[in-house]
Amino acid sequence: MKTSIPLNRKPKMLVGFMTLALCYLFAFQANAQQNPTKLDSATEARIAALEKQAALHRPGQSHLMVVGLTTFGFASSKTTSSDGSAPNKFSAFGTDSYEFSPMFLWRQGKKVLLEFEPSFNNDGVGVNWAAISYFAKPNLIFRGGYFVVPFGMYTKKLAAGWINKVATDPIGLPTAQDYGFGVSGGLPLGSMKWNYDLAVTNGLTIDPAVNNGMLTNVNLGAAARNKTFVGRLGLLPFSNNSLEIGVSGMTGGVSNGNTVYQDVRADLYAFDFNFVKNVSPVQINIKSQYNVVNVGSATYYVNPQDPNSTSYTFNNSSTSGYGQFSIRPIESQSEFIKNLELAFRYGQYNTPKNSMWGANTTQTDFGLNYWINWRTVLRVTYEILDSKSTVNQALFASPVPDTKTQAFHIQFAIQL
Amino acid sequence: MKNLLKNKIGFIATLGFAVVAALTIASCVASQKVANKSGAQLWGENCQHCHNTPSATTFSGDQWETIGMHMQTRALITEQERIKIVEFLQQSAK
Repeated sequence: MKTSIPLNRKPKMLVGFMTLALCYLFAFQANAQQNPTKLDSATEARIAALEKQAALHRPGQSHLMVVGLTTFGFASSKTTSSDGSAPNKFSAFGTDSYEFSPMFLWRQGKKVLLEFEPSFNNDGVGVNWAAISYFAKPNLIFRGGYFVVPFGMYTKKLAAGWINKVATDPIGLPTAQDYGFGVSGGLPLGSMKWNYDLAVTNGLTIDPAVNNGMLTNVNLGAAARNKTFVGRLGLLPFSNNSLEIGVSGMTGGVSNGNTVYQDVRADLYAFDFNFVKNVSPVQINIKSQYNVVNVGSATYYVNPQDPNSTSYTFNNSSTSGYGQFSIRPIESQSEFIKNLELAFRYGQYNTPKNSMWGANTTQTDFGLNYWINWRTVLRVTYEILDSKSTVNQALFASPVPDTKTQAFHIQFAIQL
Repeated sequence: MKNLLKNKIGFIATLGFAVVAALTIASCVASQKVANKSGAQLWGENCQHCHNTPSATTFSGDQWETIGMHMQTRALITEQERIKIVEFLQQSAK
């Protein structure tokens, strides 16, 4: 006997069937969430391996990285002399244009940083700095080791080959690196900002073997008794950080245990200026530093090793400084023109009159740079060094002539 | 007597300097306008002070952390600036 379902009951059955199906589906999903699907052993092994691999790359407290810089290039120069001797011509790869300096940055957590930069350049193999910094407070950093002396702006911030705007350094920079201990930091001051960088270092001395009044670094000399106090204060008066002006001072005895220079002190001052601003359509960059070096009076001998030879004295005061202007058309439509930069620098270095090394020297540089990317530059620099001797010619057997050097540099520099 | 007077003057001068320095440092706060600057803005302003502004993709996040500390010792930017610049570079590097 064939039974049939009345037509009006069919939709009710369909709804009931769908409700049952949905209930089953929800129950299955809930069960699946409580009891995840068991993976096969190969997948589990793969996940375990990946977790192990990820653990290997988990950042720890210690982080070591290598950055650094290299510059290389070609220099050609011609020096003419007032004594009428034949011009001295010179050309070579390297010279002022070679440096390979990997820098090791080793961070321990967020408080300690070790910085070590060995360097191979035209002076051979050396160390630019090897120092440890402790970030004690938000704007207080303690630093110890061998570091760039905080005097002026150029040596600490602008000297790197890939940062400098021309191929050579300005003449007459009185300080470089030294062993010591220091504190530094940068602080807000309303809409302005200021920074301090103070240090005590082994300092400067007059080498008794040379005995000509020139300052040299004590470094790790065994008799290093005089310590030098040095520091720089910087002020950024505009809220956009476009201008920084700095004043530096350095003072210390120079005897280094040598009784001949027992009461002789060296007092150094510097003023620096740095202005960088994008003034549509160009970027303007002006940098300057002026240095004064005063060393107390002492008696020197024409033959440094013989106190019975003729003695002489002089006002041991030197000044040096430079001003640099560069401009880059950063908003040019042409990618090539946008990467070009024109630079000009003028410097002066006046060493003590009537000393063995007295001279008034000017340094004029014209530069054209092409920025391959933000940290790679190809530069061409033409430099004129004009030196007028102020040596007391009557004292010394070999007169020192005036000289003029014209040099052409091609240099490639990159930060790595 | 002379030495004692010298020592006293030296002590008062040092104390005076320390008080002035402490007051100066304690009053060092950024204006609202400066405090509100973004990492991107600080990156543009501070880096180009010495060199071209770096590309964020040059280094990894961990490396930017280390370089940020190196730049704080070198350029003497404030800690707040360093934190914002590093965060901006880490985020932009992704």
